[in-house]
Amino acid sequence: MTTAVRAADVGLIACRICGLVMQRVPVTSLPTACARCAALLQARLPRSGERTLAWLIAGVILYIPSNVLPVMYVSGVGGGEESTIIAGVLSFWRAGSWDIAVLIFTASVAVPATKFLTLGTLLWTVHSGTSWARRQRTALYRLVEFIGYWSMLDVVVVALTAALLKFKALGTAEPRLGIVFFCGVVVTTMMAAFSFDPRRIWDTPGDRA
Amino acid sequence: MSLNRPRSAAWHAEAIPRLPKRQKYKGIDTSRLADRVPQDASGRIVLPGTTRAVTVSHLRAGPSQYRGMPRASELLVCAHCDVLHRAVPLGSHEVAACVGCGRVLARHRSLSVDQLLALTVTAALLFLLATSYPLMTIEVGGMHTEATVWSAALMMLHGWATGPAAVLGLTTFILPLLQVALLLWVLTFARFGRRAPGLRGVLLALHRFRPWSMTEVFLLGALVAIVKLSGWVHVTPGIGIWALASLTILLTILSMVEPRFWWALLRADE
Repeated sequence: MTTAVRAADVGLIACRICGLVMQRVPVTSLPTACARCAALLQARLPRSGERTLAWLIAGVILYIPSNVLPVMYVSGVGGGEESTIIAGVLSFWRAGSWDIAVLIFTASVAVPATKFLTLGTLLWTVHSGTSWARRQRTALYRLVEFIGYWSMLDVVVVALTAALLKFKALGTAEPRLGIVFFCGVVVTTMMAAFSFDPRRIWDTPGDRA
Repeated sequence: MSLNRPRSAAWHAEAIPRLPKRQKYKGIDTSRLADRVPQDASGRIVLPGTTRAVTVSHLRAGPSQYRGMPRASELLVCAHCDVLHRAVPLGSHEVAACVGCGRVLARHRSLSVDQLLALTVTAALLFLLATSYPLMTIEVGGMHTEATVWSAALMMLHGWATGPAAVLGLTTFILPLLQVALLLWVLTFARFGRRAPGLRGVLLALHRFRPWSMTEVFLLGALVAIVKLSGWVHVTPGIGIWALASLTILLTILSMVEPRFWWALLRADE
C-alpha cells in the first residue's frame, strides 16, 4: 500500500468517461476537456457530497409512500383488493413460496434501505475525513452501485401482472399510486449512487481545496 | 502514501470555473494536454519541473514491459481511488485489480472484433424475437391474454402511471435496443478497420446508457410474475422469455469488454 501513488499527487488526471490519463497543465481560466472524448476534466466530481445527499433525502421521502400506499389492485370473482409491497411479500410467504417472498422483500424493501444506510455512512465518513477502512468503504460503494437497479423488480412484476390479468369479471389487475413513488425511489437512489465520488473516501482533509 | 508535496489551488478541479455549456469546449488548447509522461530508465515517472521521481505501482510484479517513455494509453488510473497503475498485457482469464481498493481495472479480452460483431448480430436477432413474441400467455375460463416486453410498459401508460411507464419503457426496451444498435454500428465499421462516423458520440451514449439498461431485471421480474400468476391461473412461458434470457447472457458478455477497448477505437490525436 505504501507504494501506491495517486494520480492527483503526480500531476496526472484520468478522464472520468474514457479513462485517458493526461498530464495536468497549470490552470488557466478555462476548463480543460479530455483530449480523446472531450468530456470536461474534473479531478473530483464537483459538490458530490451535496448532490448525493440531496438525491438521498429525496429517496427517503419517496420511500415512505412507496411502502405505505398500495402498489397494485387485484380483483377476482370474490371482489377486489389493493395490496402494498409488504402485503404482497406476506401473501407469498403464507402461500408457501418463501423464496419469491424473500426475493421481492430483498429487492423492494431491503435494497433501498441498504442504499440509504450505506450512502449515508459513506457521506458521513467522507465528511468527517476519517481514514478508517478505506478499502472496505470503497467496496461498500461498489455494492451500492451493483444493487442499484434490482429494485425495479417489483415495478416489472406489477406491470406484467397488470398487462396479463385483464379478464373483466374473472380477474383484473391494475397498478396503483404506490408504484409511482416506488419507481421514484429506484431512480433517486441510483442518481445518489452516481453522484457520489468514491475517490473522496481516499482524500485526506488537507488535500481538499 | 502521502507525498507531502506543496499544494497549490491549481491542483484542485474545484478551482476550475465552469463555463456555460455552449462555450465549454471552445478555446481549449488541447496541444497542452500532454500524451506522454516523462519517465526515467528505472521506470519511474519524473515530475515535470522537479527533480523528484515517484515509483509507479505495477499491476503485476515482474520486469517492466515498457522502457523509457510510457504513453498515456499505458497508464491506468483507478476511478474509485485515483491510484496510478501501469497497464501490462494480461494473459487469458487474467484480471487486473487495483492495488489501492481492489476494483477490477482491466480484463483479458479473449473475443476478437469478429466474434464481438457475431455476438452483437445474435443479440439483435434475439432482441427482435424477445419483443415480437409473447413472454407468457395465461388462460382463464377459455380466454387467454399474453404479455410482451412493451405491453408491460404500455399497460402502465394509462392515467397517472406515466412516470413508471416511461422508466420501464426506457430501461427495458428503448435503451437495450439502442445499446445493441450502437454496438452494431461501431463493430461493423471496426470489422473493416474503419472508424464509425460519430464514434465519439456513440461511445459517450453507450457509456451513459449502460447503468440504465435493465434487461436482466426485466427477466427476473418476468420469472417472478410467472411464478406469482401460476398460483391462480394457467401460465405458459412463451418464445419471448427464452429469447430474453439468451439476450441477457449476450449483453452481459458484451458488457464485460473493458471500456478501454472501445475508447481505443477513437484516436487521441484527432
